[in-house]
Formats: sequence, structure tokens, C-alpha cells
Amino acid sequence: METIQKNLTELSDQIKKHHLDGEVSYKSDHSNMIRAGRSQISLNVTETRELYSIELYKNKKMITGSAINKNEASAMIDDLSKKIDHMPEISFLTPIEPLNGTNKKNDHFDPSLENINSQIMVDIYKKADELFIKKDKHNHISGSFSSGSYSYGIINTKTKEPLYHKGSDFNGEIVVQINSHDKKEIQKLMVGETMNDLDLNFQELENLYEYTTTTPYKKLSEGKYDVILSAEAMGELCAYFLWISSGESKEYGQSYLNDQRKVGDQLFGKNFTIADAPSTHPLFKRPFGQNGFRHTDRHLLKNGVLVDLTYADKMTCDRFNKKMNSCSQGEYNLMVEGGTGPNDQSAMIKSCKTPTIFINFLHYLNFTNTTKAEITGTSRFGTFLIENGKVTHNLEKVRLLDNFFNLFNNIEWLSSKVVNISATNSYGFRSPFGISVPQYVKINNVSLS
Amino acid sequence: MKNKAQQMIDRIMNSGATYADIRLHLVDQTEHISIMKDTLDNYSCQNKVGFGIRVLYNGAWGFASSEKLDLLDQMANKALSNAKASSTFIKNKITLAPKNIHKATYITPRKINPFEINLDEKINELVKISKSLSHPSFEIWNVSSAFYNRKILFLDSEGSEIEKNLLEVNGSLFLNAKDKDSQIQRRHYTLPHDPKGTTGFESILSNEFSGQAETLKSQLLQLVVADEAKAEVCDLLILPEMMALQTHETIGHALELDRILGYELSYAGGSHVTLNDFGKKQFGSKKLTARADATNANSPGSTGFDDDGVEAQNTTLIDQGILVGAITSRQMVAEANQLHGKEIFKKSGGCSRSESYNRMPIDRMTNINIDAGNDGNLEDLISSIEDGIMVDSAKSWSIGSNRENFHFATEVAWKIKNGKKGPLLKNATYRADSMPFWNSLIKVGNASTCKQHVFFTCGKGQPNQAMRLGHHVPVCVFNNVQIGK
Ligand SMILES: [Zn+2]
Repeated sequence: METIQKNLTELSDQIKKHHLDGEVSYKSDHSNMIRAGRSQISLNVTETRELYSIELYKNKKMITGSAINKNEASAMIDDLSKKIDHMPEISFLTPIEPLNGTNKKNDHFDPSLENINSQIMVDIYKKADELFIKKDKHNHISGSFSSGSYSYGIINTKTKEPLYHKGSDFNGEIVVQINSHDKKEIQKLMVGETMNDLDLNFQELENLYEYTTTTPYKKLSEGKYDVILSAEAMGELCAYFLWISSGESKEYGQSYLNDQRKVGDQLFGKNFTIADAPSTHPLFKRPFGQNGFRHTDRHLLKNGVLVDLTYADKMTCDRFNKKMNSCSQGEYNLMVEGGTGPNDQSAMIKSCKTPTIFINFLHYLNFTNTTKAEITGTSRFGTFLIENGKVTHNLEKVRLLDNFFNLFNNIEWLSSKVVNISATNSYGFRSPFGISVPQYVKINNVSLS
Repeated sequence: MKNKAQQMIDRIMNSGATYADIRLHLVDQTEHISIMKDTLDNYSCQNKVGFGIRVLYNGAWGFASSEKLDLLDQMANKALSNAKASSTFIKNKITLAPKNIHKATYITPRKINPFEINLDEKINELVKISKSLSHPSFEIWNVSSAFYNRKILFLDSEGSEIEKNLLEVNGSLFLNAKDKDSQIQRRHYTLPHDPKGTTGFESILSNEFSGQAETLKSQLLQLVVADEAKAEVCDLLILPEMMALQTHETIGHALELDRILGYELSYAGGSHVTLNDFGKKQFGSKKLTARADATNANSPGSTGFDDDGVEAQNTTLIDQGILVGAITSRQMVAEANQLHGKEIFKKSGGCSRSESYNRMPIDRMTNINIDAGNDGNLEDLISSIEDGIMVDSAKSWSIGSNRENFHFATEVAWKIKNGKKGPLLKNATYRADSMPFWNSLIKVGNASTCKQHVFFTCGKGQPNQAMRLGHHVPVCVFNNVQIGK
């Protein structure tokens, strides 16, 4: 740690010697991953990397570059300091400002995830295989498990002390392909910051297996349905939603926000609140973002009202005359506020008296039209019809094609229990995303085909 | 370094491995320039070196990579110990189909190496193009280019020794403006690659890139006053840029053999194709012949040899509507043949590719192309349509996990009525189930309608890898497609 901070300080001093302003940021990563497919290990990989990124400023000119170690970074500063004179002027470029983030020791760093013995990861899939092969010898286990550490740091010529943060994480999933039942797939996700967070309880996965193998299959006709989303499916939707709600997306014309739909308007249901909550979130608390901006608690959407537009990129801020006010969205500690709905799976199922579609996961989400907040994607890893408080059918994968105004104005309830979900598949400059979402969310009148 | 790498491979083989290889990137440099509204938005460059070692031990893979060349032996040991751990959960030992052993060199053909010209010259050229895109009613217009140069040494325990110098050039334009409903409309364009041409700064200077500004501006100005495409079922004419994505998502990914076997289930997904389908399945109408052709001179999908050290090939995937081939590597070919109990694939199709030295190769597209047809040029195709819609340029794409269905949105569309093209329409979408869709292919344009479009960010695999490839495709017409729902 001291070495990195010393390196950053020396590189910043080197920029000053060229009579330039500038910023040096650092990233490192130690990643391990195993992957299983067809009930065996298909890949077992390890990577170690670091990267220094350099930005130089000279009045209205700037230039950037990156290098894989300190010596190369130092040579690059010398090279870029010559090249910068050949760069065109950027009329709106503003001078860099002191970084406002602060250092804070990470109490959750687990070194055992950095140099994990890959046998530990292999054994997770062996255990899953033993469990599901007993149920049916044709079942196939797939999935990946990634474990490692990451660090990042930053200094600029207006700041004395470099900022530095180091963290650890794991994430993974176990997929069972039920070959005797039309190759249907179900999934369990895992995420954590220390080895102690690893939960190898397979009960929910076994429940999904039961519903898939004991209920008849049905093809859903196109229409509007009441839907229950798992935390993973809701979390994925929320991450997409926030992306088109950012200041950057608005400026580049990729947002639903315009003169008619503005910050402060009641755009969504009053029971829908999202916050970035680094002080209370259980996972991956970052004291500052990779842009050096301090990371503090803030509401993003409160009772259906968009609270503020966030900006994390200096160049965008300069171009559109805005002030940087945030770390980037992928560094948030996102909390979707819970409600008063049921928490455990059996209570959720019992609560559905009228026909309701349960979607366990959303695959390949994409905006069909960002300015209309329209999104599409298909269900995956378990889609079921619940009627009269019971799972009555397993369904073919369905395509959700709707917009966020419909979706987030029609939330009937959210579970009171909020759970951590795995929203990253990190390996190689891993940057785990802490996101917590109610266990289940019921949304009515959703367009499915 | 070559001697050290060879010694490392010998040592790993002496430790009981059955195969080992190394990919050593002695040069790995990128340069990116972006100009927004005629002003520099970003200039960045990166120089790297690095290596990746792959070891097969007792029928299981291990891999390790680093950017510190002095860690060669340490990473080799790590790859070996990873393979040993993997081998404790292997039901069918991994074997590799035989290959020709090459001691060879491959260099991407180029005229002007972008790394050898002055930075000012490159920036000035892009600013010039940016200015030609500008218009007072546009919100944003952008020109960007990226250059990627790699010198790679590949050595393996079977005696391969392959040196590659690969160059890639990417150019893209986009512009957007507010339409009459206060929604942002956008046009974008990526530099197509002439399959017989060269890769270099010459393509940025060519009319194919800089000459597109007027068309794009004119289309955007029409889009801001355009009506919405209506929901209907009608014929669909797809222009090459959109056709490339259609081919990519519903032929390319569906025919990757690792997906077919089930090795991508936990992330990208599987395929509706099974091993029993080869030689039999109707995959498209008789008008459809598709191939994986890595022998094009000018494409990021053409690298001379894949990362198994197998030579570039031109493999037929679909022959007049019958599925006959797949996108394959040594491992997957051996495994598929063994699983099927008889030979489906004679040899590896040379499609084992990795994003860089720090990723393990997996089955990836090279250039997935569709043969030109004999239904005339674009005018002939338009005039043959009684009631249809013509689309181009992807705005959004979402595809079922087994590639069994898809939903696309496009930037531009034109209604075709009685053989005549109407005014431009905005916000068109179309969707279908993949097999009925390809089986409804009714017309394929001739060679004059073909273009090769390239993708630089095809995502697949865990750890995720972004791959670069091309699609040389004609204009195609499909019957009875659901538009706008
Ligand atoms: Zn792709």
C-alpha cells in the first residue's frame, strides 16, 4: 500500500516538474476464476494486473495515456508532456480541482480471497453436482466462481496525499440444466466481500427444481400480467433505470428526462425509493470513487421523485457546464427500499391469489428506446405461473417489453427484507457493485410476450 | 524471451502436462481519438506487454497470465496447479483434435500504419470529418477512431511457432438531434471493411468513412420530423449494417459449438441447435448459404491462425438452408464427435480466439458471412415488395438465451408500398422466432448489395471477453415479420 501511495506521489511530482497540471490514477487486480460446464470444470484461470492512468493538462489542452507499471508510467509522463503541445485547444476545459475524497481503512478486506486455492472453488461445483445428480443423472451443473482483490488510488497536482482503497470480493453462480425437462435451467447466485459471506444453502434452488419438474408446462399468450420479480431481476432493472437517469445520459440524449420530465417531478410510484448508502450498506463500501470524488449517502429516487442528476465525468461536466457531484454509478452502494410485502418464498407464493407470473432472472436487457424509457429482455432460470397461492405451471421463457413509467408506477408491494444480490461478474480489474434489493417485488400490468 | 518460453513449456510438459502453450504479446498498443462537436473529446494511448499460459493436465485446463515478464515461471506453475485442481472434477477428459503444425508468420495487410503518422495529422483529419457532420439543429456529433497493434508469439508443446502482427482500425460516427416530440433521434455509422482491401489509416481517409456525412445528416434531419413506424405484419428488407447484426446474433452465436455443447449456459446462454441437427436441420430457406470465413484479407476477424495455432479457414455453416457446420475449436470438435458417437466435424475450424493474452481462448466467430444471391440489386429488391418496410442501423438488440428469438430496434426505416420507398420513419422495431424468421428469407441481393461490417465488442465468456470480427452480408428480404411490437 505504501509503495503505491509513494509511486502516485512521485508521479504527480514528476508532472509538476514539467510545469503541468495533471492526475495519476492507479488500479490493480488479482483475480481467480473457475468455470464449470456440462458438470465439469471447463476453465481455471488466474490473472494479476496493474495500471497507471495519466491525464495531463496545459491551459486549454489535455492528453491521456496509461501504462502497466510505474517505470512505464514515468516514461509516459515524459512522452505525453511533449505531445501535449501538439494537441488542439478545448475551449471549455476547466482547470482540475483538489480531490475531495478521503482515505478510510477497509475493515472488510479478506486476503484469503486474493490467493484462493482454486480447489475450494472447484469443490463448490462438485457439491452442487452431487446434490443434483442424485435427483436425476441427466442434470448438468454449470457456473462460474470468481474470487480476488482489487485496489485503486488517485492523486492530482492540486492534492497532497493520494487516495487509496483496497477491497476483496467473490461472486458466482450455479446453474442446473434439467435435461430431462426440456433442458430448463435454474440458477443460484452468490456474492460477498469475505469468505464468511459464502452461503452454500441450496434450499431455494431445490425449490425451483421442484416447481420445474413437478408442474406441467404451459406457453403463455401475449398480454399484460401481474408479475413477481426476484431481487436479482428487480436489481437488474434498477441498474438499467439508473443509467438512463444520470446527468451524463441526459446530456448525451440517452435519457427519458427532458423539459417535460424533470428532476423533482413525481414520475414514479410513491412506494419506490432508491438510495446510494455507503454508510449502512453491508457490502463493498468505497470511501471515494475512482474519480477521487467523496462517496456519501444520498437519495437518488425518493418516493418516486428523482432527487438529483449525478455527474461523475469531468469532461462531460466541462462540456455541459456542470459540476462533478458523484462517484460513478458502478461504485454506488445501492439500496432499493423495502416495503411491507412477504419475504420468504412460500409466503410470497401463498400471497398470490390471482394468476401471477414469477420471474427469477432477466436475461439480455436492453433499451429499445431510452427517451421513452422502454426496455426489453427475456426471463430466464425459472419462470412460473402462480395461481390460488400455488405454483401451478412452469412456463416457457417470456419476453418483457415495457417502459419504466408503467413498471415503477405499478409496484403493488416490495418485500420488507432487503437482500444483497450479485450484479457483477468481475474478473480483471474487478469492481464489485454493492446492490441490495427487496427479496421480491410485485408489479402489476406488465407487458409480456 | 522465445528461448525462455520454450524452456518453460518443456518444463511444464516434464511435470506431467499433456499440452501447454504460451501467447506472448511483445507489443500491444492502442490509440483512441474522439472528436465531439469539432473539439477533441479524448485522446488516449496505451502500451502493454503480457503473456498467458495454458496447460492441459490429466484432461483439465489451467491458465494464468501476467504483464510482468519476469513472472513467467511463477505463472506457469500457477497454470499447472490450476489444471491439477480442475482435474478433480472432470467427467470426460478434455482432448484436442489433431492439427497441422505451423512455423509461420501472419501480418495484417496495411498501407498506412496509423502508429507511424503524426498525431496532429490524425486529429486534424477527424476534426475535418466532424465539421462536415455539424448542423445548427443537431445536439451532438462525434467522430472517433481506434487503432490496435499487436505483435504476438505463439508457441506450443506440439512444435508450433507462430508470429503474428495484427493491426485493427475502427472508425465510427454518430450524431443526434431532438425530434418533433422532444425525443432524441440518433444516427450512427461504423466504418465498413472491404474484405479485399487493406487495414490502415487509409480506410479512415476513404470515402467509405469521411464520405458518409451528407447521407447521415440528411437522414437525421428527416428523422426529427418523421412519423413513428406502425405496428404491422409485413415483408422486411434489411440493409447490410442491420443485416450484419441479424447474422451475428441469430446465426453466429447460435452456431458456436461451445454454446451448442452447453459450456456457456451460466452466462451468454445455449443454442437451439443440437448435435443431431448437423447435415439435416433446415436452418433458413434455400436462399441462405452462410459461412465462417477467416480468410478475408481485411477484417478484425482475420488473424491468419487462431489461438490454438490452427490455420484460418473458410467453413460452410449453412448450405442452401441446410445446417452443415459450426464455429469450432480443437477441444469442442473432439468432444462433440466423441459425444455424438460418430464424426460430425472433420477438424477444428480455427475459431479458438481470445480477447488478449490475459484470457483463455474460447469458440469465437471469425467472419460470419452470407453469400450474395441472385435477386438483383437494391432497386430490384425494393421494387419487388408490395407491402413492406426497409430498416437499417441497430438501436437496440435483445436475444433469447438459446438464440431462439430476438427483438431489434433500428435507427431508420422506410415504408415500401407497391415497389416504392416512402418517407423515413422513426422508432421501428421488429421481432421474431429465429427459425421461422430465417425460413421466411425470400430474397437475397446480388454482390452489389454486399458490405462487410465489423464489430469490436462482441461479449461472451466468463471471464468476459470482447471479440472483434466481421460480417460480409447482402441485402435480404423476409416474409411476414412482426414490426413495431
Ligand atoms: Zn456477439
